[in-house]
Amino acid sequence: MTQPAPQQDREQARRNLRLALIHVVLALGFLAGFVWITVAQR
Amino acid sequence: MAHAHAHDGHDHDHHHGPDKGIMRWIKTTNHKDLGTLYLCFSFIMFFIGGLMSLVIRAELFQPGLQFVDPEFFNSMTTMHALVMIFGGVMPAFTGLANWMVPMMIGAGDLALPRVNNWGFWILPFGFAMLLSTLFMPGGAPAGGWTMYPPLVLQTGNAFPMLIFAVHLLGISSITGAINVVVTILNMRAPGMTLLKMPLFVWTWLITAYLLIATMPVLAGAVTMLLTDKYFGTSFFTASGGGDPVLFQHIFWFFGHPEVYILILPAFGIVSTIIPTFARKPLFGYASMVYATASIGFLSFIVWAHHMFTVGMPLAAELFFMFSTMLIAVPTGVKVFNWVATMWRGSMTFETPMLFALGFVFLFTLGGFSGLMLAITPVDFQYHDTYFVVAHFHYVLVPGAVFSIIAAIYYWIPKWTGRMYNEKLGKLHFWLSAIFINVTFFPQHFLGLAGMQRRVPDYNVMFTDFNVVSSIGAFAFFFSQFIFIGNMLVCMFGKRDGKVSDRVWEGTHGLEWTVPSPAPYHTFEDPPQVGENGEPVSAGQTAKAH
Repeated sequence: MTQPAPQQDREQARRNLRLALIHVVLALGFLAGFVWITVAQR
Repeated sequence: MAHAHAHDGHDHDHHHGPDKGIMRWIKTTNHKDLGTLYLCFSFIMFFIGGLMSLVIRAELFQPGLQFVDPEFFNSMTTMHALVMIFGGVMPAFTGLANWMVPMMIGAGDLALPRVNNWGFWILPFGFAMLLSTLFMPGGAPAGGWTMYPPLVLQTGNAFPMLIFAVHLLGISSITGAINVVVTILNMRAPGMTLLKMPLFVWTWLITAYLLIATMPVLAGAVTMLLTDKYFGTSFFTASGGGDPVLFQHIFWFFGHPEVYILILPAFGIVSTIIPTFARKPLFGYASMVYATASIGFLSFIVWAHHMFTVGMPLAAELFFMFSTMLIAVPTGVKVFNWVATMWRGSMTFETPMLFALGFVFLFTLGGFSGLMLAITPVDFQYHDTYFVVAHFHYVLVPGAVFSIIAAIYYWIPKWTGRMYNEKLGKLHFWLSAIFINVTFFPQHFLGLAGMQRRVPDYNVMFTDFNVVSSIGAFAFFFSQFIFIGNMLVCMFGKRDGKVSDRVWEGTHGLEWTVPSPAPYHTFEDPPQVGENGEPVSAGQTAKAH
């Protein structure tokens, strides 16, 4: 990228990525839970 | 915008200003640029969705079929909703979050700037896909934005385009939501504890969690529609042993939190603007936060009030009736707090305040008709009538849309360094406030008298109120050009140097400590926030004043 955001230090970037991934897993968990309930309803 | 911050001995060569030309906007990872892109995109969508509503209101000006085929009319109602919800209101709030959340919490940018760029640029492709169906053989989706099977399974070639468009919009929303959550939880300035955050930040945090929880559910539901149509499954197909009503349950498990996704950030905006122009701190800050969280929680356990007439067990109908009514409690807390904030305040009525007050009055009116709809036995009369249309337009237009307009009037001097024209702003407010009621108030009467929604023709006895409603809709639409003109002058007009950093005298908070217009990068070194939530030491880009 030619116009970076103000640099995050390595530690901050790592913490941000970890929290983001936790939320991705959370979202996928909701998806999996929903599919499980729907299929169980069938 | 040149970078106006001081270089105090550090090597900041990599922090240069924006690229020139179109590449600036395509490659940007800057939260302010992306906020501007989101807002401009949402305005284009509001315009397209508005034109669709004019097709609807033109057709309904008189009974009988005048201008469009019934099939196309149904496409218009379907596409109007999808465009306004997913293209207008949601990106507008994301744009406001992009601009304001980092500046309000003293962060340099959102936590994941490249994901932010990706999240935005998915949207134009998603909507190109969705809107292209208008030109396809067989036409655009016409089964309603709720996509109920079996009707939606009759959609022609537009069907997979609809499903994939919804997938793209969902991915965009989830990336935006995760970005907001991570930014708020990880990147607050020192001293900015959770209960010192501005209400707009709080409401967006809760909204982001609603998005993370419900968007995957929508994605799963529409994927099952796709496999039902093309891959021989029968999740929702009765002939194969499936249950169409199951789709309605799943859809509204997404759909009702979605309603609060569209209104919680609006609560945050109004909670920011009213204290400014009442020149008093927000009454009951903590109760506002808890009320927002309560609304967020309750939004997950009320979904079936959208489907009282499908034949649920009595216990379920009672549960969903009472849980829905319960939402009136935290909402009432909020309305009370806004009124108490204004009580004995030194109020002035600049345009953002007028729109915020319009919000309080008219959103509350929409809330009352919502309470009426929550009463199960009465809902059997109102279901699928224009009363429902009147209800949700009251909470969405003078609710969500007025708050977006208020936010833009409030913050655009900070964004552009130029004050909007106050006289034109007031004219815009009064025309909007009058004509939105002319448009939607008569629809209550139409619904109570039995006029169904999503019909291009109606009994002649409904003519008078429909004429009034259509006149109001056209007048409201054209009133918005005053707003667009006013904003264009702010964006491209000459800076007059009259806008101070603080802009409004009653403001508090970190965003007002940076210069107007806000420099390209703000708070590279975070400010220190004191006990009262005010900065005690300015960040690198914040000027003392």
